[in-house]
Amino acid sequence: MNKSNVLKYVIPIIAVLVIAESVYLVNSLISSKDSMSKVVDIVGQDYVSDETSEEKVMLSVVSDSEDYSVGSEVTVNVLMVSKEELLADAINLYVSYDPAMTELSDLAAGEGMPKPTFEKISDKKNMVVMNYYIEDNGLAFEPGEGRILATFKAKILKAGVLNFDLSTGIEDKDSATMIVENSTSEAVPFSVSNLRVEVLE
Amino acid sequence: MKNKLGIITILILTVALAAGLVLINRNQDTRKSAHFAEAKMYLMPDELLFQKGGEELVHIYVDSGDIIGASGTNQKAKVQNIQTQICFSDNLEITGEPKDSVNYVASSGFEQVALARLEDGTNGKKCLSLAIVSDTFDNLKSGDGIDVATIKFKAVKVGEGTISINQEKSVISGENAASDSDKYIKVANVAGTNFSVVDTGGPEPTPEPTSPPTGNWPVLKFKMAFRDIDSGAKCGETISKGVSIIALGPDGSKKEYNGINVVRTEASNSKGNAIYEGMVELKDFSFADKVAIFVKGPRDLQWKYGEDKQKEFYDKAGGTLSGLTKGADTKTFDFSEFPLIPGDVTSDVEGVQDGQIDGRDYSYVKAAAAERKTVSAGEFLATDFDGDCGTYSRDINALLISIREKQEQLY
Repeated sequence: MNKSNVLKYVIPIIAVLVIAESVYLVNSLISSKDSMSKVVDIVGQDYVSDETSEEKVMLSVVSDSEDYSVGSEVTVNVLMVSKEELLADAINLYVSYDPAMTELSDLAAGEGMPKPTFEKISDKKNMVVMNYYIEDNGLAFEPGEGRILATFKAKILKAGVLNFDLSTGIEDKDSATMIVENSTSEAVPFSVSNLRVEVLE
Repeated sequence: MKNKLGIITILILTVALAAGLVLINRNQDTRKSAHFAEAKMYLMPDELLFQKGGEELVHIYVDSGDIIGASGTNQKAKVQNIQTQICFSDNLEITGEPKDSVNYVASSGFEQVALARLEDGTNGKKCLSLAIVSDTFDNLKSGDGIDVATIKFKAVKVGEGTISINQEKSVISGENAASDSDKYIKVANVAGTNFSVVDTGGPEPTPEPTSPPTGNWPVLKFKMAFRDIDSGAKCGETISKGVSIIALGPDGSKKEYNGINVVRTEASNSKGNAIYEGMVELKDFSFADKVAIFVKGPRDLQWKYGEDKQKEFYDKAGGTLSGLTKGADTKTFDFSEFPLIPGDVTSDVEGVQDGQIDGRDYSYVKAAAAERKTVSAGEFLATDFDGDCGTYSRDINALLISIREKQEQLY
């Protein structure tokens, strides 16, 4: 076999290999997102109930879980931190959720909280409701003191964006989160940090 | 040899063709889109009831939408500037300079109202062209429910209408972390506000005497009860501010009547509550059949009554009240077995009802009970729910019962 005959066979073989490799590489690039390992992002979303006054209370929906894979169960807490001394007459909490993404259970008051007047995981409005109406002088919070107001378990049903948002009454005035101060009978300004979890396959 | 080369060439071409087909079947569209996100712009509240002569605020909100092609964190577009046109019927007006009626929301990152111009629209409507902008990238918001601005409307004419967003004239620009050049966010959806303007004859309604009907309009006669007031209650003989009634027609139209006098009778319902009777001529309301009414007391939540002898929460659309006539001998509807529940006494404005029973009402009544507020027999005290002329722990308990009842309905 002379040199030119060898080239006649080698060049097409190399060409086939290059084409195969190109297809493989392009396919790998396109499908790279699908083959990523499970990634979780938690992003807080801010809201301030009163734009004209400085917040007195910070409300956060939080979870310390490290595993947000599909099928796992995480504990979600609603945390309140008062920036100053506060006597609360009433605390109305409303946390919205997506029933397609999660199944909720075991709603309970946080440690040290009084018995709620009304508590429910509502599949009618896709809302976690926890209402405290406090007798006597109200529930005392020290400056900087953090307290879990409500806790519940969330089983993750599928991949997607999992939101737990404190409802502020803008879209549904029946479900307005508020903390009412004993001394004024008025709602105190508060900020909100919601929980957003992106669950990937 | 030539045959072999031909076969190899065919094979190469076949492989190349197959590879091409594989690639074509995958999404190869990497071109830049004309917009980098699709947003929804909407007005809140989505339904508004104006008193004639009164003013209400309408909020412009934006759900900024996902950045196209983005994944992971920060995938929602940040909103920097919006331009839009808000149109409304002649029941409403913008008073004074348009710019004075529009306020941007600083906490959403906006810094000025760059444009607020009133123009004539179609069908007698007025349109407000707006530009709400931010000169810097500080505090820009992304995600759902971005509060952009408020517009103050004044109601000048009784009737119904809409406040709508002109989608064609709505544009949003925003910060795109993925590109310095693509800043355009498409307004893919818009939603406006339906409103009604009613004439209450003044902000402080007083009960109307039961005057003879004019014979021009349907007359509603009804029996009703208040959950905690029995026939012996010293401060329950009359409801000094009367009740408010909204009549709902089968076509969805509404008319509101305030300060309607209700008189306590000797009769009681099955729960021992005193039965009150009232009558109102439904002026400017042209329906006698398939009617529903909403009744609200001066310290009570509004209940819907859609059927005669109703005993529980009515959760259907429309109503079945029929047979209203134009004289005083019209049929009497009995709603006394589903009494109004008390507890709506205050809001973010002290002493003004807001249609809710929440923590503010609880704290307000609790404070009144701590003071042991009292009035003389026959007088009205908003925080006295059982008509015993004072505010005590019984009234707090009554409010908590109302809250549980309402929450069970809602949730």
